[in-house]
Amino acid sequence: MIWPFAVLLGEFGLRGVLAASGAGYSAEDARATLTRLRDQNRDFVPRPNSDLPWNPAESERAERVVQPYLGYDIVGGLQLLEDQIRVSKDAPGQRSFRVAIFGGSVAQIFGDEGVPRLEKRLRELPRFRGVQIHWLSFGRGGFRQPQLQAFLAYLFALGVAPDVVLNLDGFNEVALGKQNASLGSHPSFPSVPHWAQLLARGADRPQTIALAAAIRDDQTALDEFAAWALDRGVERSALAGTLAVRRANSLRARCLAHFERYTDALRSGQARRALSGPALPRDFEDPIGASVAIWAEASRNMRALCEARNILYFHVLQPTLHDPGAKPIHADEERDGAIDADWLAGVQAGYPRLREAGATLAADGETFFDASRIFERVTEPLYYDNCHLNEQGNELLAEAFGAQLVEALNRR
Amino acid sequence: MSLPTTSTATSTTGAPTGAGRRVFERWLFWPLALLLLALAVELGHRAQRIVTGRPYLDARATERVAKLAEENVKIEFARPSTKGAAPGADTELLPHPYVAILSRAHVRTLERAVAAMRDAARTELDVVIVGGVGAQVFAGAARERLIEALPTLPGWQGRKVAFWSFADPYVKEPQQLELVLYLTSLGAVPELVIDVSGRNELLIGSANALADMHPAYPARAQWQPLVFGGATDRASLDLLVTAWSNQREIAAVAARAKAGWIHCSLWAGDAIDRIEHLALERDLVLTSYQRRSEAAQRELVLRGPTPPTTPTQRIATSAGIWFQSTRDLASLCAARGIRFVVAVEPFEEPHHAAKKRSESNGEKAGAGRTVLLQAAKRLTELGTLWIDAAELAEAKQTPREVAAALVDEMVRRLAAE
Repeated sequence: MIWPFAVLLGEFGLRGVLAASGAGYSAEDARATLTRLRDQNRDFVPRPNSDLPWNPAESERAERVVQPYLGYDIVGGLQLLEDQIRVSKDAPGQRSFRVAIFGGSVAQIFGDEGVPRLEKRLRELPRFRGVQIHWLSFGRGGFRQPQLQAFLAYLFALGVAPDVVLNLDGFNEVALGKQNASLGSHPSFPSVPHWAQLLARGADRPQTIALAAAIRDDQTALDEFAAWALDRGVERSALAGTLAVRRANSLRARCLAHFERYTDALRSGQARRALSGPALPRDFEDPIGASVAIWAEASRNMRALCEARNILYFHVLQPTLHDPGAKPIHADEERDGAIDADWLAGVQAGYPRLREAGATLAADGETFFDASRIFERVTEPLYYDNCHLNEQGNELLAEAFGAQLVEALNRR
Repeated sequence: MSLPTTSTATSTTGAPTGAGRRVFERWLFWPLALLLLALAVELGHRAQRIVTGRPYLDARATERVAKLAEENVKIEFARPSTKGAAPGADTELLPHPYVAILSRAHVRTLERAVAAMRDAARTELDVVIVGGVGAQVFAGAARERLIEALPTLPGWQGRKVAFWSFADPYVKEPQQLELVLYLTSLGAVPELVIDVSGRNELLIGSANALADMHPAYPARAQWQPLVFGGATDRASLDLLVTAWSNQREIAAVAARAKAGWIHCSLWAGDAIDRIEHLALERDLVLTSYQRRSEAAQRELVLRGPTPPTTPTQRIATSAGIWFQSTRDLASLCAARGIRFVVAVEPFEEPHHAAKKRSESNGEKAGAGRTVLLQAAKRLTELGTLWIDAAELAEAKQTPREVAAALVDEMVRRLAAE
């Protein structure tokens, strides 16, 4: 009969200790953490604000597949492309305006959440009265230069003809570029964790399947555990909630460890050459410098292709949470913004160089907007993880460069 | 306090008495009873098998388990590649994220070209040759003449020429464009890009479309084996994992049989049933995986956007891709200070294409070339230097003669620019 009292004592004792340490227990936070860990464990990019089923556990549309000129794409992207090609051609007598958005997952989410504010801005121009504006989203999780230039060239070959190419990038280039180098691939190649598994050369070897099985077991374990915990509302108890979050974190860590081994296994053997990209040892001494250089050179190429077609090329350096001085980090962002060591190193060393290279691009005539400091005085939480903006963040971003976009259109 | 006795307490008849009886009842009775029961069941089971005409034989069961285990080990998850050069050969084709396919030799060329072109101390005149089969023939046949002729042009006098050929028989737009984009994004900027193209774009593009694949996608024959190693999406991986788990379990059951359990007819009968069930499930799951792989690859990885369906659309789309990518390649080169010339290949349509063409009404010989030349004329309006190599090829006997005529014309036009 002592157990109920012991449990109660533990519950209130823990709450007391947490409150005294200044980090009082919050059932809402515990629930959000469990949900986030569950979602993150399903794929790379959680999308808590979207109705679209981008989660591979729930939808085939989010599955990645090999694409000949981009390295990979998602099924939903390939399906969407059919519509995008169709709306790229005006019916006789019709004149619409098309803005193609390029970038990684931040650009992809901006295509949903930032576009309404941007369209409102564009609608202030008399030229858009009665004109339908099509927003063609080509943002994809993990995409970065030189994938974006390759995507643009491919779309032009297919006859896609936008009026504006809006390129929102920067983070993936330095974060994933650094990670690629650490994993033994050239920074110019697609993100290894996104791409490697699709080169089926090693994926169906028994030893690789064993690791895939371990990952799937870990994912299922976390999925089932999170469902069990969330269904029963364990977060209402500080004791149970804390233990549940700890258990979920441990399952997530185990899954990540297996995923790293899986990625390593895929990189070995037959596919190694295809996965690693050009062997440029000098670049490996400074993978972040190489990533920034590729970012700038590929942007020059995109501009060249666009200008020859009389398309406005508008380049935005995206803001990011872990760029020192970019934003006062809110407690929620601190809690949810955990970042891989390579990504952090890439951002911290890469962003100053991206700004510098961006200034050079602008000096050379590129329509470039450095948005990396637009949140430096915003104290509210705008990031829901280490790089993705919430709805308010996307609106503020649209507001920040909307005026310049309007101005650039007015100059034409 | 007395010490417990260690002597065995038995009666003169040998029957357990006292403490000995208690030990027997407590520790030995039930295990012995269970052993006797198992023996009885085993013997009963064997008898029942004899009566029903299916006598249990250890050797036969051992043989069956060994056979199933052997089959189990031989199961291949990976689909063997049916096409292409041996791994490691220069001609082995490798998937490339931006140009779709590069031969192993060209991967090395790319590495060397990037390293060389980024070396500011070099004085060589870097010439990149891109395109399909015509470009490959040209790269071989025109080399010496280009080495002589290019350094006579203003600005290039006395320069040693460095050739970087990425031509391969299957290459078509937008692969040339993607390659030059990639090179320049790595900081490798040549001084001249020669593109010999047109033929593959029309013939391979149309052949792709006939095979329900978009003309903008790489040549089906080369692309398919590279990506057809099996679907690796999540659902497919689940199937692989299931098959793999079954394989492991079969191996574990077979190992137990080898350890001696095979002599128990009850266990062995169930084990064989279990192995057969697992093997059946494994095979079904692998079949599903392979079907899923084929379907997924066919629909998404292989097909690209919906391809054009009529002969006219096929030609127009293929020529359109050539035009769009060539104009982009010209724009890119212009912006980068690279001189660019495109030669529209002479193409007599080979046997396989003619055969495919005959399958669809209206795809008349020469129709493709006419459309292509119309597109090329639009390049002139955009200021792109292009040459109709077919005109130059008339009355020439060998590829070397055609290449020499083409080089002369290129040099003449470049000098006049």
